[in-house]
Amino acid sequence: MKSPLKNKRTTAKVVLGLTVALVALVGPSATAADSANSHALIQGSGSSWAANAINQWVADVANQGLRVVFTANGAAQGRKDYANRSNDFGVSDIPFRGKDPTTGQADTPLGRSFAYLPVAAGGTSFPYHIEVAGKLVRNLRLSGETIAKIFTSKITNWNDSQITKDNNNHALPSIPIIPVVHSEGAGVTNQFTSYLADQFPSIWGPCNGGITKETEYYPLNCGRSSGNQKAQAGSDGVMNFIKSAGANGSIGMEEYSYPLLANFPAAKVLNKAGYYTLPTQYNVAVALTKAVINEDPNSPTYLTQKLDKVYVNPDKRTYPLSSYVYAIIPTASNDDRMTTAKRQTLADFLYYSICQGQAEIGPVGYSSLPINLVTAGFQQIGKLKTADSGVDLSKRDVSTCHNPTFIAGKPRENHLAKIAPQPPACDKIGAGPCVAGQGAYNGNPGGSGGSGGAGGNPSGTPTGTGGGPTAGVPQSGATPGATDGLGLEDPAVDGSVAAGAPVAATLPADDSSGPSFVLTLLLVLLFVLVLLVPAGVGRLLVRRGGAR
Amino acid sequence: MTPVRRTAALVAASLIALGTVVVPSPAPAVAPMAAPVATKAAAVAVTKSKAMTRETIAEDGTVTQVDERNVSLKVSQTTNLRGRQEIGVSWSGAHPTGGLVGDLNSAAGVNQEYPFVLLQCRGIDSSSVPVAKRLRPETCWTQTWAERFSGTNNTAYPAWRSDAFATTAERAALVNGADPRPTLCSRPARAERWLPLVAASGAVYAGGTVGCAGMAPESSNVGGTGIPSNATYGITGTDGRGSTQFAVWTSEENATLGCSSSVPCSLVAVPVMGISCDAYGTKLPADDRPDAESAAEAAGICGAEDKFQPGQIATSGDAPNPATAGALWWAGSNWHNRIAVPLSFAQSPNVCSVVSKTKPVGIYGSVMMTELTAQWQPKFCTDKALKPFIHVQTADTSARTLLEAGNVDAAFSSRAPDGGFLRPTVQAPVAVTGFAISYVIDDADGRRYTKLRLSPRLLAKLLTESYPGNALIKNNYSALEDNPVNITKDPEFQALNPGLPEYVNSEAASTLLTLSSEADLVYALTSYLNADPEARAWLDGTPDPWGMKVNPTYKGIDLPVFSWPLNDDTLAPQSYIDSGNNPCYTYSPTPYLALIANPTAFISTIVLNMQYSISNVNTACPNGDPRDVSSLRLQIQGRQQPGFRFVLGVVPLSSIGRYGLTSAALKTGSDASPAYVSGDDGGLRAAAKLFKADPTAKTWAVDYDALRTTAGKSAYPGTIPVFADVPTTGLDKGTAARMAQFLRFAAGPGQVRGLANGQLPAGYLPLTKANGLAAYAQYTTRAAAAVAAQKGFIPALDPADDPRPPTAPTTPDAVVPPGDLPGVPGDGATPGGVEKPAEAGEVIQLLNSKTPGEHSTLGGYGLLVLLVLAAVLGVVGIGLRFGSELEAAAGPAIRSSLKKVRR
Repeated sequence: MKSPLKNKRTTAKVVLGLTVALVALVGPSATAADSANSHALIQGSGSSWAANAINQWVADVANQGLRVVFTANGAAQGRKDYANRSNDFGVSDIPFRGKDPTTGQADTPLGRSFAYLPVAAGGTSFPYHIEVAGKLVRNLRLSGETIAKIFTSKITNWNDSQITKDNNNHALPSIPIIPVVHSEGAGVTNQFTSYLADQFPSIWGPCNGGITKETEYYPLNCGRSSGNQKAQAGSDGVMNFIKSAGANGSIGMEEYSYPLLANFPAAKVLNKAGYYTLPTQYNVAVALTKAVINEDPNSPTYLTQKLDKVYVNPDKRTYPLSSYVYAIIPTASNDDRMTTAKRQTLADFLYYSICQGQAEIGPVGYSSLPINLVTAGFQQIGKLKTADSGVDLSKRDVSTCHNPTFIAGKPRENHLAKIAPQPPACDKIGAGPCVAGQGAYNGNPGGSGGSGGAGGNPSGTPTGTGGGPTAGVPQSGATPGATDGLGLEDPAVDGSVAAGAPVAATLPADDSSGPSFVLTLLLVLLFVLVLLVPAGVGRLLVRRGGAR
Repeated sequence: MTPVRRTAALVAASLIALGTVVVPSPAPAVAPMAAPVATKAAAVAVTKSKAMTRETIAEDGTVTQVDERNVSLKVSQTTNLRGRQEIGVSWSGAHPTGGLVGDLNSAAGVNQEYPFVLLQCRGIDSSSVPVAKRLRPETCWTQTWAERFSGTNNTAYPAWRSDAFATTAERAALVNGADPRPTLCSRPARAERWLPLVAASGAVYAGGTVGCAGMAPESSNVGGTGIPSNATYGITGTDGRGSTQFAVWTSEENATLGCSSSVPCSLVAVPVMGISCDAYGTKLPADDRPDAESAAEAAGICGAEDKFQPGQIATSGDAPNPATAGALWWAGSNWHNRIAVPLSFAQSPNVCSVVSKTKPVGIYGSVMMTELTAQWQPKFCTDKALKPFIHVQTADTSARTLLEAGNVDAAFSSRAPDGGFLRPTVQAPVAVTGFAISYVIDDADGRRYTKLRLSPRLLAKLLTESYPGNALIKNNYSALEDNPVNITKDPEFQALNPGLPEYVNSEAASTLLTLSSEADLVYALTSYLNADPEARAWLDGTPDPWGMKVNPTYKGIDLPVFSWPLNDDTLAPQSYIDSGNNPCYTYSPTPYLALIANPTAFISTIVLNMQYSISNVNTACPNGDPRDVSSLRLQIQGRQQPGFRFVLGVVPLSSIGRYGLTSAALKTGSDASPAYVSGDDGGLRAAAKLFKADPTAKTWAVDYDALRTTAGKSAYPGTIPVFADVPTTGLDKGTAARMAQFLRFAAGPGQVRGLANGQLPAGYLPLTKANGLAAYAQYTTRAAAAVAAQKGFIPALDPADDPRPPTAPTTPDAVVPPGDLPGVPGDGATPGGVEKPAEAGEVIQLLNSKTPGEHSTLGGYGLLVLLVLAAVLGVVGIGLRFGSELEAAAGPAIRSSLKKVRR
């Protein structure tokens, strides 16, 4: 086992080196020539789902002289602001739809010109707060159906047998479930209810007044006047509630970056291949390879997503609730909020967002756009120049784009999805559950994580030794017996540590912490000595005494 | 205007001009722009005064003076300004304001009587510059159309047509109307005055009703989202005094206004005195004078009584006296009273190219580094010798985890992880900065209070949800019923900050806005509370001397924490829920005090809230309609009414200087003889002297216990060091070289205080010998060498303790054959596994290499020894317990052997 791997590594290294060299040769050779245009402050509003990424980009571009103000007031409000011409760009998980399919809320751009442009990918995660013996459970797994039943109040206690089954027969104690939803019109609600409407219409429909459609406004307690559900305003409100001490038993829905920032766990969700996964940048990238993008440039919903195939993507590295979020930009040449300087700022901000901006947000809970969407994004940015020939877009193209999903020479392939690690065996249905941290690898591709070398593109390339998606996952024996209930397991004795994830965040036993085998042996001996021997001996004596 | 009259006007104007006295204080108005070593952004205040009158001209031309004022204006800083920076403006001698509105930066402000209008205008107010560079109302920024348009169908003679200081043309029925009139604009009213906006580019935006003839792109019809306007309709108190903060804008924030280091601008104060009425048109050519009936009407309008008493708050629907309202700031009578103060802006630093071929290296973590990295980044991307980096703000805990797992290359954080990094990682000091408690509090006169003093116990009270916040909770929650409803009612607070107004029902005054994401900043804040005996005792249940008790859900709380928990889950009383007074709350009742606390994930939100006194208390339900689910969203209370403001928030110290926020002096020293120290350089320096070196973790840490020593009496307790955490093994060569370069920069050139690219902004204490921090800079330089070498070496804090030169590896076993690694797929045939081993192998090997902190003899062998001992004792114990029975039961052979054992 030792030497083949070593050889493989050497091969990989050589290939890696070659790739770096290649990238360096054919790589970007842009000069740092900037536009002569000045920039002007632009204001955007909308999706709090995307806010952690967008706020980071806003901070990043300040050093390029770009002033951007973003208000995370929810996707519905962001679209409303856009229609009312009170922002320069909107950010929304969904396009204008005429009206909300469920509530009938009006939802149009009120005649303002617009184009959609995907800016980030991510996963709708389910952060939860379950304490067992005063400790936070961190390795909960749920199937889509269980989640659907939880959020429609069909399952109301964490000791429900269906939840126990999801966790490979590891039962949680009896704790009432508190589902937490958004009270404002939220993109995350729309993402989640789209999933429910598509995958579990018979569970969702009755809760949503018989309408098996998505909505941005969650029907609290399925429209009943009281129940176990809570509505909270905004991502801050939802996370604050879940984290609060009184919220033991709560579960909400939020973009993955929110639980990561708060250091709170999010549930692993069962995918079609039978694995429970987290919305890591890899699992989201893989899932979205099945997103159907409207590629008709003449359609008003050009570039918007259809996700029904994402939900059932058969790849075991799929996180089923993966989606894109969009910027809405004004394309008319006579838009009264726009000037050349503002269009330039918007163009440069979006260029940064879909290129370099994609490289840094993986570790904080988003995923990167694949090249087809980046390329299409450039076309949409191009509409700002069509509207105003003064906008300078030179050098702002794929060749200067530091986006980790594509590498030179393979433009149509999603590099991130290609190199995505397989889920550990303990995440499989009927196995595990994995300890907290396993299957959560979220580092950037290339080297030790983060940026690569001179080429700037993620290093490493498939060596093509073949093997289907099912081949070669080390099926190390999960030892269910090693855990005594969720959250109380001891990583050191869980045999499932050596699984397929390239990095187990839980560390193997440190070799300098003593000879662990001897320790285990001694421990067993001690227990035998203290517990069994006295009783046995006592019994023996009693029997003998009785015999005598 | 006849020649004679014109001369008279000129004489009058020059007399008024003579009345203007310029008093630069304390030093020359132009701050000496010293070279890089400029210690602080020299904030030199400028004071100007001017005499002004309001008069009435009777039909026969007799002039009667109806009001006379001597207004004095003080501006805290006028040079070296940066975009969005707040400057302090205060004044005295002005006419008291009436009909007060809540938002002084909104169009509603124009409806106040006698507001003190503050505007940023392009140009300077001097006859010695070319006309094109002079300021005029057309070059002054307002956000909305309503602030520069006046139209009425009620009369043909609104007050501005009677303006004695307006030209004949300005007194016509239609002034400056868009020509041709766009179809969007309605038919002309009986009297219309348009004030176009002239952009820096020369473009003219005519404005008009709802901006029908074109508005500047930065304008807004309604106010809208984003940062508030800087046009301010300031309130003058009954004593003639007032103050406010004014955010200056550069062309980056507002291109139409277009101020920059090369385009001079001014802060213009227009103390609205009211229109000097010439209702009979004595100053107009005879043909232009109104007829007798109209003149009488005009005199009535222009000389109308005020609608409000000074200081009276406007209620909705109340219209002001139009002759004294802020809406006419541009009218000659008001405009000629202006006091203009030239503003000069810092040179816009070079910025990074939008297009870059070099991918920056990412450093994840600390929110306290934001201002510093914002000033360093442009240096790194414009200086050819340096390679760019990017600072990705994230929770410090998450940054350390990401670094440890090999997910990122470097982190900014303020403490060593418990038990140290498993991967050899150097923690090189790059900054000494801290947290600040920022606030906006108005004193009893409605002016901004600037001397706030806070103790750890007061902070603990705010954080623990121990003030009930409103009468509803206070009267229905027995655990809190005896506590003051908010901090303004707390005798401890009153003793420290005497004379502040007490509020009966201010939820914002019962909480401290903090971060909901995890941060070392919160860890430092809670360490400070935890170390203070008074605060700790109170948290553990000892009431304060006035009887206030900790909220029982926080009693005995374990501190410090990375993120403040929300423990209280009390709902508002059922009667409140059932009343439906707050439909949003009734829709989904949740813990009420948590809604008051409402911490936020973004530090930038707290900074913005403190800049604009926005209350983040999430209990408002504007337009909530139980039948419309989309309206049932609780919202934050938002901007507070000037004169009655009270917000408190935790922010990074560096944002205080950057945005001109105010920050509290915090208690240090012993309980017996406390001192209150601010986060200035002196406070930071004294605190940094108390940092404790930790030779094991190889970092420096704040010693909170030392605050109570004599030396601690001058130390700012919010001081926190920030380290760049960089692995010294496993980084690829390029990244290692770039991080080493970053550290060398951080240890030297980056520690020069100033506003230029690559310099150290305010709020960070330079790591220099003068500040007693030479050892820090030296350590960072040595760390740079270790990072460059990537041999797994971590320098000791004291160079003398280094076992061997930094180039020699101390962990020769760092490279572990991949075959030994757990977590690597056996055959690697999966698509993911194929290229993963290269990376995964590397990562795992890092995890397996050891940091010195891991080597604990006790930890390694103690358990073994203990277990062996226990096993032996177990055998002996069994022998002792059952020895005799066994003896009796067993055969003679065993008996004899047992005897031996006993002996």
